[in-house]
Amino acid sequence: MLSEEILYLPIRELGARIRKRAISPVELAESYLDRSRKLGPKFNAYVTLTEERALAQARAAEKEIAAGHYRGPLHGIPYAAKDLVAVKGYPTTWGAPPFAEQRFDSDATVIERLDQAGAVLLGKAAMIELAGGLGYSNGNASLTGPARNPWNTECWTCGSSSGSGAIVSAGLAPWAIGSDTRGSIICPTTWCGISGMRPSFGRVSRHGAMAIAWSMDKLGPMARTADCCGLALSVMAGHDPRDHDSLPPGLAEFPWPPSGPERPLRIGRLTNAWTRLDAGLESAIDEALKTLEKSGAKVTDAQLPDGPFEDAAELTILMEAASSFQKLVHSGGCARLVDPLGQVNGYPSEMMTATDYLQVQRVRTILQRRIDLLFDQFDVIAAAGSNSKAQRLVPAPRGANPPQKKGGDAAAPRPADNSQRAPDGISSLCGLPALSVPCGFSSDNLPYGLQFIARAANDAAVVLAARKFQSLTEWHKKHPGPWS
Amino acid sequence: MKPERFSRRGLGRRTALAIAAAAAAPAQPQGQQPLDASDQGEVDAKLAEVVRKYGSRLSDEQKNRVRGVLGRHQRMLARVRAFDVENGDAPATGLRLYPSDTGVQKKG
Repeated sequence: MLSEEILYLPIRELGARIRKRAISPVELAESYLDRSRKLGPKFNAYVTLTEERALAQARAAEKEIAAGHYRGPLHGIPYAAKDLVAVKGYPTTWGAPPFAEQRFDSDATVIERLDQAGAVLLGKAAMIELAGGLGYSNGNASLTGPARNPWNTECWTCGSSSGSGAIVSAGLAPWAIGSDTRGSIICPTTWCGISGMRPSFGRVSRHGAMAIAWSMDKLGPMARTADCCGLALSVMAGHDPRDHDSLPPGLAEFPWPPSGPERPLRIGRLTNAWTRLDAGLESAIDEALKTLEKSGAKVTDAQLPDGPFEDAAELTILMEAASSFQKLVHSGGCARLVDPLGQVNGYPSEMMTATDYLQVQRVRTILQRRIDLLFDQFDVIAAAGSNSKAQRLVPAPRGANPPQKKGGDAAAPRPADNSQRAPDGISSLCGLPALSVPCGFSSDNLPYGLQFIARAANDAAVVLAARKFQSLTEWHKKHPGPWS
Repeated sequence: MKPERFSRRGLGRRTALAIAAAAAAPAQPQGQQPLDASDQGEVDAKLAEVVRKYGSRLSDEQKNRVRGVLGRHQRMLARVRAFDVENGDAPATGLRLYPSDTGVQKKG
């Protein structure tokens, strides 16, 4: 088996070694699978390992590369996919007991694209049930129990892309697909000390992925570095007529790296995001932005515009989810969800009116215009990825159903509420790209994250800003373990 | 799901029961003002409707939870309803991205 040092390499380095035939894709896949079998259960990281498929893909990649047919940066590179993405022949549970046996007879578009690029699917990552689509109150809300944070297994990973975060952080795969409707990539990325990106709305096809809120759902990569995110996104992105909201050809693609010289970054430091930050985290953000400033970036204060961003984001999700999960709610199947909030949340959401939905969407249009103006002054705006380090697990709440598959007796409070001025309220509502990277550690060795947010469809700006930061720092090279 | 049989008297009784059951729940989240009478009336009416349609499958504890959720929804709705929109402000029913207007793609 390959060493841990190799298994923590970024995609670009793994790809270079595969191309030079210094690493065998089969040995690489076997090594990650072996590590996933041994360590995955410790973190409740996977729902399913797709070993047979992975090894067949790895053998095919090895054969092709040996024959001189190199497909590109993900050829022979393993990855995991959040279990809301359909993979033919395997369960796609959506992380929820009512769908524990669900199977689809075709692959999601994003899986098709990765297959064509020669990537190797290792398994389906655990997640919060329905990606939190019917609400959840804590980290216990999953078919597989709470995902445990590799930096401290007494802490949660955050959600809803909880398994994807744990998998990348623990070196069980070099990268994973996550999904983000409102914060579900950025928060676990931050708490798990990795680099993760929510692309612009419409950049990556959601065809074959579970819907929560059609006007807000996004798929994106979670990986070791910003450059890894760029490479993965360059394959995941592209127009898909089967996704109603797919960006048009010419705009949907994401060539990485971009051509042309790098210009000095104009960074807006958000002074009115997050009403409360851990003291250590605030210092870490200060230091991170000073580091960028010393390298030539122009850093000035910026403010999120006024408006009920967080309310509009949450109401949009609640109302669209009441429709997307209508069958589950009407049938009473929601009673089988783990989380006591998820068991009932569809009922009050159903009571909102069409007029309310339209009011929220009218407000949304105005808010989109307001935030867009901010990007006339800045390439990116920056803030903490979360307002805290990873939170400790606590006993599951009263009324929770037990997880079905694996042991899970603990939870952690869901971090978001609408009084925090979380930047993901506005950025998710308006379809903006965001990327979070590690920027320091708490006194008890839990990661902090810095996120960059850019104008809609300017995904390159967040990857370039984060890549610049990582060229100046070493935080992304630290990883957790060993584990007893 | 088939709705439960409905009568005005029955609705009133169910509403009263639901509200009585919900009385054990915290009236307001900590640090928040009570809802005004109009918003509270809307919450009560929605709770009655949830109980009418789905009450047979909900425990008293779950009805309390629904009441709390409805109160939280109402606060969000009140803030969004208070946001001033003009007749010509169209809804973002298909999310529009603005960068094509600004040429930002050319910079990428």
